[in-house]
Amino acid sequence: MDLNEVFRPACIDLEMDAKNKEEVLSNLADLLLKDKAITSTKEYLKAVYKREAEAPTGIGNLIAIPHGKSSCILKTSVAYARLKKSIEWESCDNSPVKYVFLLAVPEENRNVNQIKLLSHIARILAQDDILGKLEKLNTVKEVIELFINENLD
Amino acid sequence: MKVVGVTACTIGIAHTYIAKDKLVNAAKKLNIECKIETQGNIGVQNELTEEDIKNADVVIIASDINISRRERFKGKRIVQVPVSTAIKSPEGLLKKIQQKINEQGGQK
Repeated sequence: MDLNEVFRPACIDLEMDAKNKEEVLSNLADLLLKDKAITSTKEYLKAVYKREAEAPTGIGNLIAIPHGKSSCILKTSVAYARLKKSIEWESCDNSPVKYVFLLAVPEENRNVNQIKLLSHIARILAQDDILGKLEKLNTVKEVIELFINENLD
Repeated sequence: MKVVGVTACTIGIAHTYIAKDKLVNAAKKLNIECKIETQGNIGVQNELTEEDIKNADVVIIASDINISRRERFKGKRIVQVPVSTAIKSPEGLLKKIQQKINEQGGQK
């Protein structure tokens, strides 16, 4: 399984300083744009906010997995921000959020295996004991390895 | 109690699968037999068979969209909830269903 295809170091920021949800999403979208994963941050964020309006993307344990599907997405991707300070976010357990994984899903020409990788990452993030693991990771390499090494059925 | 279910969400990439995992794990804890079909972006996985549905006491539909092939569950006891309910309190959901079924007694 080649997780590196969707989870690339260029789209990971372990020291993000952001005041609110808007800032986090905008910063992460910028990373995706720089990495040529999307063609427009405006278009992409429109899709993300559309999804945000439907149901909470905070899945508990200080983790949020906002996501958007759009034709402006060139590469199936995950962008990750570890925030210096937790921020408010609509979540299942009413907790704030410190770990944000922004998923980008292409509208067309999707690669099923890559889509499965995104689901794999989301499922790992929803495990009860994930927070203890996430907190310990200090390098981009360690973050990617966590998701490679975790086995789901 | 035997439970079957379907999970689905608008993008079909995250919540669909998280809800499935949460329900299956909670069922395991409560000693409830449980099979969940996912209707996601990449299509149907772990598809429920006619037999699965026939033997189930209850069908849980945890979805934010209209699921496909709902007609399969005609005549069954159906519990419909938003995906977030299955993610937030899967054990509570199953316990509540179990209690209702016990109160009503026996098959649907």
